[in-house]
Amino acid sequence: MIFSSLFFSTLYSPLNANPKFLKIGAIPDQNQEVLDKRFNLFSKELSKSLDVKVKYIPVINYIAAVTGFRTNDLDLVWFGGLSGVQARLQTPNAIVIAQRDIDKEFKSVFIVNKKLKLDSISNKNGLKKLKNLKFTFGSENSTSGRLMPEYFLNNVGIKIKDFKGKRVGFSGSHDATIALVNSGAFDAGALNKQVWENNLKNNPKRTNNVNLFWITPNYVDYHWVSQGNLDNRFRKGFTKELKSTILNLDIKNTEHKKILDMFNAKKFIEAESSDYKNIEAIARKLKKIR
Amino acid sequence: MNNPLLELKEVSYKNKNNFTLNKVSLRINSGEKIALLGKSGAGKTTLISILNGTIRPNKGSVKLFNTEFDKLNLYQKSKISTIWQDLRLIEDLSAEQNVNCGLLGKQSILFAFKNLLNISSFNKAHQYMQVCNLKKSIFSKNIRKISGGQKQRVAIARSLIQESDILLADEPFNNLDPKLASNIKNLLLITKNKNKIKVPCTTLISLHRLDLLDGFNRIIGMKNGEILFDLEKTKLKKFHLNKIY
Amino acid sequence: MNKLKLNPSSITFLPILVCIPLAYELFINFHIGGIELFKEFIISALNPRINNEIIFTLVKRLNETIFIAFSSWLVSIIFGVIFGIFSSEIFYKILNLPIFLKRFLNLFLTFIRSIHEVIWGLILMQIYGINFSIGIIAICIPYVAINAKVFSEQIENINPKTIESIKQINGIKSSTLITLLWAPVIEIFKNFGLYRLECAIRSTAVLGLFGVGGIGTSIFLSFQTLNFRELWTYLWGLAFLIIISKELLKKLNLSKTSKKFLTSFVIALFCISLFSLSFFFYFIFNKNAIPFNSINNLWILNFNFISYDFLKLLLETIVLCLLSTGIAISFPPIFILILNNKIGITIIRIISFLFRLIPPPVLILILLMFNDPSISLAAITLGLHNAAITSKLLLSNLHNQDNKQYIAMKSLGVAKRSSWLFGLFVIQANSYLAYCAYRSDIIIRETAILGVIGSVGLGWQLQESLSSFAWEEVIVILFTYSSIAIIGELINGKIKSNLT
Repeated sequence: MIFSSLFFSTLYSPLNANPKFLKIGAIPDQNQEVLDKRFNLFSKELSKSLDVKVKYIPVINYIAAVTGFRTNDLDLVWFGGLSGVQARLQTPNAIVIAQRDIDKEFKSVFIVNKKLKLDSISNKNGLKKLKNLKFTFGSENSTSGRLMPEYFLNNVGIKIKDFKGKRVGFSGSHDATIALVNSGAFDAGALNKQVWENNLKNNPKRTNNVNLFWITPNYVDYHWVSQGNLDNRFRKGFTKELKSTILNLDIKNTEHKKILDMFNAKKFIEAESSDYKNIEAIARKLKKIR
Repeated sequence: MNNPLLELKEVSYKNKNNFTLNKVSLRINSGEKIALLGKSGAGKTTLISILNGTIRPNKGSVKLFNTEFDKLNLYQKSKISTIWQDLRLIEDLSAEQNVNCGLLGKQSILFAFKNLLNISSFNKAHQYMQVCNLKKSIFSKNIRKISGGQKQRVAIARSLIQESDILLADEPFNNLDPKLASNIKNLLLITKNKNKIKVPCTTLISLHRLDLLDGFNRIIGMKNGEILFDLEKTKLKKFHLNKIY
Repeated sequence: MNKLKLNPSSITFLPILVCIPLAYELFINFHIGGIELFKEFIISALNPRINNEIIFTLVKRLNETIFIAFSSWLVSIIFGVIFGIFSSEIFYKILNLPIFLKRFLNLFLTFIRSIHEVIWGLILMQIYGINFSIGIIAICIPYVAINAKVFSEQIENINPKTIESIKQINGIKSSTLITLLWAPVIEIFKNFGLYRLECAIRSTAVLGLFGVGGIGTSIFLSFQTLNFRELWTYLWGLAFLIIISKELLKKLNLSKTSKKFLTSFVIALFCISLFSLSFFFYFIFNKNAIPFNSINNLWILNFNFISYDFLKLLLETIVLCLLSTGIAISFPPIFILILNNKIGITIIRIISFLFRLIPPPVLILILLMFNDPSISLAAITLGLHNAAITSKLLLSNLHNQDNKQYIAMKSLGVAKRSSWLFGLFVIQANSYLAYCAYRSDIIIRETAILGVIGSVGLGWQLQESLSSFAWEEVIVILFTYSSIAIIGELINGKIKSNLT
């Protein structure tokens, strides 16, 4: 018994106790290959310029990412708008490091099945036409696939119970939302604008039966969040160095361009926690934060 | 008559299936060879179950070595061995493992474990199986794969290997051919035999075949859960048998 | 007219009646809008993505999967046997312990069983953080309870007369106990334990929750982005793993192995159980538990939450469970009866293998390509997935069974199907039903991960509460799940005692 306890403590100590590893994580919103490539490249770059060991720890869902951050198992995490706010509320001292250029003006799209013969609308009041239809969001914790669309719907007075069957679906991902609306299983849905455009371009077959209905106004989304104690653990001013490394990724540098391309961004920009006050307020209203 | 091994006093038993015993009293003394006769359903099996403590009577008391059954320790209880009518062997185990189960009363848990793993010593088991006319070829066969008569003899070997003081047997000759039956009967009744194995000196055997009554010294006849007669072999008359059958 | 008499065989066929409402709802909701995507899915199955990178990931993930699945399987089997014995009547009979201990233990095990391993993982993670061992422990917890149930149920099937006869020998109680239990336990292990390995492997496919989550991570992520070719690469990899592990274990025939091997096997088992136990204690006491920061408001229950809507969800969950259990019970014997020849059985084997392989969330998405979201659709998804599992058990049990009576029936000139029914199936019906009973427990917990897409039942509410980190709601829902499971268990027991 004692022997095996000792064995385990030696086996697990490097992973849990070694403070010299910078453990980065991300919410899983892409497929495996993209995620692995994106964050392995990014880790390498960080490791090179900060001179610390960096390890990418994949997690499979939003909840795990938030929890991993709270339990100090992740030091720097690529969060969505909502999950980032949730994580920061659960982890005092957490610091917002940066966001992408596109995150400042992020958008969602509403899509409808072509059979409904609904024209696209220019004003949010047109959303009322979605009443009594079968509607699906993406993942429950997605900012662009659920939180903001629900907020805009609420704005014009549509509640979940106004949809058919007094409920909505949660497809689990943006791509699944397209597939479900395309097949007719659901009449309408909401998703990340980036994914929508991506599908239009690369997968025309999958969007055959879908029309764009409405594009939402801008809101803030994804951001990097780090633990507040990195300075103590690594060295003085470490957080600052980390921040500037990320902000200084330059599209003209071929190595950096690879990383930025993987993030679909031109550059990373400054971000403040106050930028996300709005998201927090909406999330509280929709009871995603209590 | 001063020191009975087993004693039943006014024992009654009733259950849902109506196997009943009605105020049965019985004393079994050391060295007695008892034959228990009676029609099917007369209560023989119930009587044997009560004698070995498997079921408790609703009324009356059962004493072994002058002690209530509940107060006996394991060692004392292991002085009774039983051959059941339906054999009750453990299927999935081999014949020799089943015989070895009879040794559980004397051995430690380690033995039980080794027996199941098939790595214990089977010498003693083989000796008893040979005495019971079992051929070597079936020693390690699975119980499921041997014939009824072979199973019967495995069950007999299992009860003999316990080396108990009292043997209760419920129709042990059922599946055996006439010659084997009388062989086995002689084995069960004769205390010291040429095979140098110990056989319980007190036996109670229920049976149907009257031709096997030689060698018993006491006959008990049962009908409808009551003992109709209980007498020495020499006093058994034809009309006794007519009464019970 | 004679009254329909309920016996194990008729009970296995009766649930087919659930198909009437199911077929009706599925039929009126039918559409073909998703045919393109379905085509893509099928074509991708034959044309999975293969390149160096993906093969590399696949191999890496498979390695992790093997490790997680194998260790959790071993641990859950060993402790399943132990708890199975503890929760079986024989144990209390032989050791003369009060029977209420058994009831208490059973209740506890039912509670554990009714919560999905993914949820266990998430809960443990709240306390211990992201940790490799959580993946294993999360699988182990419900699996131990499931195995315990199966083992204890089969142990109860030991002839009580044999028990008496061995008791009569009056050996030490513990040696009596192991002598009685050994053979049945080995037998169940052969029939059921090896099959559990497949379950454990499949479970890692759903579980992939944490950093080192095995192939589940990859399957989930590629499914999420509807990258079907990639998805199939991983699924075929998983299939390969399942088949290989099964073949390897088949070779390991317990009854024919040498004595030395058996001894070392037992010693190894003993060591593993000691090892895992000490690991468990180490894990509990040595790792600093992270304070649950929402523990304070854990007990301030929001009573508004248990409202009309909640009751509706609860009802839906129960209906969903009943429907899918009906499918899972009745489909396998009916299909085997209809397609009762070599080719037919092979077809059933292949189809059921596919339905087992494809995780239910993927399955429901594919079915949604042809149908509107509804309870029936969720029920048929869960039902088919579980029917695939029960059919495997049924087929292998039928295969192992002595076919004396089948031959006897046939020699009487009875038609092939009827003699299959009376000569083979009737004998198997009882234990098949017992397996199905525990399957219904699994269906209850699987609704937790399936209800989301169609937003049917409590599963949806559970996900929503989890993702809002509303632990007080999560606790209420989990207790609701366990109460459904416990009530189901009680009804089950009633049916069983009425049958015998």
